[in-house]
Amino acid sequence: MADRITEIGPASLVKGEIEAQEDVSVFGRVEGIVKSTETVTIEEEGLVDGEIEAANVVVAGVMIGNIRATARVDVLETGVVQGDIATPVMVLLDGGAIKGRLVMDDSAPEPVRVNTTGTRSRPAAGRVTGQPTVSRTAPRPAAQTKSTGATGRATVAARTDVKSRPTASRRYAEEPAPVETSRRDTDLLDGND
Amino acid sequence: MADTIIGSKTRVNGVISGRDRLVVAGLVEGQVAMEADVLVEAPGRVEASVRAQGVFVHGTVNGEVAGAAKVEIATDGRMIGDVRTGRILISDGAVFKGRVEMDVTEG
Repeated sequence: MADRITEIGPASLVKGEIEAQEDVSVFGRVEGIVKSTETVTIEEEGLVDGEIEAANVVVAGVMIGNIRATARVDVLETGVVQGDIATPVMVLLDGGAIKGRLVMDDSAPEPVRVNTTGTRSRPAAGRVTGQPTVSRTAPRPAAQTKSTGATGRATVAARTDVKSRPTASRRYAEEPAPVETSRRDTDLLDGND
Repeated sequence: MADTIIGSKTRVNGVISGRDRLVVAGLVEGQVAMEADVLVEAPGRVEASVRAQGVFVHGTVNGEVAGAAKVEIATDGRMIGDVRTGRILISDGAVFKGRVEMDVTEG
């Protein structure tokens, strides 16, 4: 009786914010934000319309909105995700559906911060959407090139780099004779597009 | 009907509604509107107005309770706020601060 984890029952609706330092299972409906330092599970009949931020996320029901997991996301056979997923490890079983972007970033994720004591602190909400941009603004270009294949966004960043600076990769794409700077730029653009 | 459980390490800020029984071992802020019973367990705290069939307080309720057929404040219960109910039970040792308005037409 003393140690119970959080469960939103099948005939219940929570509108607002759930913050937990324990597992959260949704059998019913949540409209808002679910944050947990542990695992958030949307059960088969469950629905979350909003945002989930947790160490692990398991979707067997319906998720409308973005998911950020610091460890792992499992979308099971009956699971539907309509929104973006940011996670280092992702499993999608046959039958599960995702409509949205999947960003698998293996850089050390920022841990989920929750506040279960009731003292107000708000800025955490902005951090969720800000998270994926971290990889783009990574200070070292070497790291960007390494992860180029992983996401569309990283590829774009690498290409802008090539255009802005004369590097080795740019030089052998052109004729060796030195030309005017402005002309070289147009040549490069034509060749790329 | 199954239960909705707010665990001891969980905080909910918002509105909880539905036909499940609600068990609060953690913290609920905002509003509770259940068509079943609400049980506030010993470490649990409700900082919200509560509408439910029956309200059973072992932890703390800080807010107004209305529309309940029955309210019970146990020995380990603490209730601060006005109560509007058909029946009320306040156990020896319970803490209660607020007004009680009993629906006399019902009895």
